[in-house]
This record gives sequence, structure tokens and C-alpha cells, in this order.
Amino acid sequence: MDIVFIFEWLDASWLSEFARTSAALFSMVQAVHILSMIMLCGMLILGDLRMLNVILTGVPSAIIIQNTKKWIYIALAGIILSGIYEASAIAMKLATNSFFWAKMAGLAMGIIFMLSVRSAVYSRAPEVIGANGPQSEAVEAWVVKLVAVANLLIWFSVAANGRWIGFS
Amino acid sequence: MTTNTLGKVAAVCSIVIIIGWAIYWGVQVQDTLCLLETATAEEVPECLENM
Amino acid sequence: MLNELLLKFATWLDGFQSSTDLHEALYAYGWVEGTHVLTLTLFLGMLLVIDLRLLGVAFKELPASTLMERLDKPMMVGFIVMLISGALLFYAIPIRSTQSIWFRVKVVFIIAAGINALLIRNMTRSSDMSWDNDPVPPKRIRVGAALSLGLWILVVASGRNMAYDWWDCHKEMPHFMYWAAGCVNELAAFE
Repeated sequence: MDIVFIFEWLDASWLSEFARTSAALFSMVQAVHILSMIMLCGMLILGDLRMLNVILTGVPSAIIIQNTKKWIYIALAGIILSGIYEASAIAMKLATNSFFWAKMAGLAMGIIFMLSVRSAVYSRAPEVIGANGPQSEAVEAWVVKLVAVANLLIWFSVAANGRWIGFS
Repeated sequence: MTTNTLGKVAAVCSIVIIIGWAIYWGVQVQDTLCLLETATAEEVPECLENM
Repeated sequence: MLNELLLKFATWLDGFQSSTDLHEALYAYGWVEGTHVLTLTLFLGMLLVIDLRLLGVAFKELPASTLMERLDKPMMVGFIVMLISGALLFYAIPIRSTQSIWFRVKVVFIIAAGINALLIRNMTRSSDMSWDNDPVPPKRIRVGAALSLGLWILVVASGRNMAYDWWDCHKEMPHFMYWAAGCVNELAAFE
């Protein structure tokens, strides 16, 4: 499947032309992208470190995880919209950039993993980790921690590849 | 999906992700070291052919 | 006079071989900068959680003091990494950084954020924390939290703008900007 045509379309779009006109506005959009990353990864780190029993131990995990959801969605919206704006300005360069594709693969994996496995496992965390009271059906503690580590690694890769696009 | 099955699926997915992560970044580190060697070496090092 | 002192300090730092090495290295500078940007997610991420609680818009089921006290350590770990990586970045390119209006503005905002944080801490210590379990804290606390978020957003934006050369010393700009950015040599050329 040849995806390059999407980048060609983006490169010729009015958005691309607009994004290339004002460097000051572009810089502000970049700041929004970084701030969205802080919100997204910050909320994910909070949840994952909690489930690794590294921070906020003893505090009911269900409260923490539930509270992070809204902000994760807001941050994802911000990061994707600002990302598209940034990408439009350098569309053709990104189409052939391996770090960009690695980042997109990581982003897709991260979103799917977070919404499916991570969400399901965290809501079934055993008492010893979750501190939510006795659970009738709980996933084993080592699995919960494995999921947390996997999530941290995926999102680290997304961020690191993202930063490396800037250097390549 | 029972909790038991979920646990197994989650464990497998996570292990695959962690191993994949290690392989990906292992390759990145290898390539970086190769490029660093290329920059300082007088002759073209072997590692470039494998990149 | 301060501008001359700062430029002298930066020039002295610039003279070290390790400063040049770090700047010109193929990857080292990139790794330090990458660390600086990625660690933001730990430092400002934890601070965001605290500020959202103090604003009364998230984590309302938890006592505010729990979050403030228990997230303090991971936040400080992040802050120390930010300081070290930031210092290294400055050390690698000391003259341009010193004469960057965005870096100067960034430092001012960081100091302001620090003062704001101290004020919030004093406010919470001197109060009886009767509002600790209230979903929405008192107004003064909310104002402090909003200021905290606002100031750190400005810090991040200023840091991002440092990469652009709109107001670098070699550019033509209003006379006031030469002074604000500490362009000592260019100012001297005017006289």
C-alpha cells in the first residue's frame, strides 16, 4: 500500500502553505505539541509508576487511573492536531524519514495497547498493588507490572523518535 | 474473556513489546556506534555494510 | 554592566575544550537535549497533577496534601535531571545562550515559578489544611496553581523559541533589544 500519496496531498494542501508562512505561529504549535506530550506522558507515567508500586503506594489505583483518562484523551487530541500541523510543513521530508515511521508505529501501538490491554489489566489489579479492596477476579501482580513496563517503553520510544526527527 | 485469559494475553503482549523494544533500540545503538566509528576512522568500517 | 559580566562568564566557559566537544559531537548534544525535553514529562507531568488537584478539576477524591507530599520526590528527581541537562546545554553553547532573549526570559519565568511554588508551600503550611479533602480548594490556592501552570507553560514556550534566530545579536533589531539580549559588542558599535 503506497501511503506516500497522503504526504504528497498534504504537501500541496493549503494547510502546508499556511504552516510555512509564520515561523512564530509554527513555534507556538510546537510548544502545544510539547505541552500535550507532557500531559499525555505525565498522566501515563503517573498510572504506570503507581501500578509498579513505585509512587503513591497504598492510594487506591482505581481513583488514579480513572482520573487520568480524561486528560489523556485531551492530550491525545492536542498532540495529534498539532502534529498534523507540524507535519504538513515538512510532509515530503517526513515521508522518507525512518524515525517518523518508527514514531507513528509506536504511537499506533501505544494507543491500541493503552486502550485495550492496559485498561483491562489495570481495572483488574490485585489488592496488593491496587489497594482497592479485595478483588474477586484479579490479574496476577507480575502481569500488571509487566504491562506497566511495556507501556512506559512504548511511549518513551514515541517521544524519543519524535525528538530524533528534529535532529535528522 | 476471562481474567485468566486476559492475564495470559497481557503477559504475552507485554513480553513481545519489551523484546521488540530491546531489539529496536539495540539496532539504533549499534548504528550510532557504527556512524561514530565512520566519522573518526580513516578507512570505511565493516559495520557500514550491515546498516 | 551585568551584560558585560554575563558575556565575560560565557566567553570564559566557551574557552573550555569540553564545551566545544559537547557542542560539536555527533550525538552527545542531541542526547542531552533529548533527555532535557523528555524529562519534562516526569517533572512537569507530576507538577501538572498537583496543580490540577489544587485547581479542583482533577483527582478530587484524593486529599490535596497526599498528592503534594507524595509526588514531591519524583518531581524533584525530574527537576534535578532538568537542571543538570540544562546546565550542560548552556555549557555547550554558552555565548549564544547568554545572549538569547528567550533564554533570559525563560530564566526569569523559572525564578518566578519557583517563588510562586514557595508561596503556595507557605500558604499550605500556615493554613490548617481544613480544605484538604474539599474537591475545590480556596481561591488563593487555585490562583497559585493557575499561576504555576501559566508560568511553566511560558518556560516551555520560551525554551522552544530559543532555537529560532529572530532576535540573535547579528540581526537588525530595535536598539532596546540589543540591550535586553545583552549584545555588548553590537551596542558598543553604535557608539
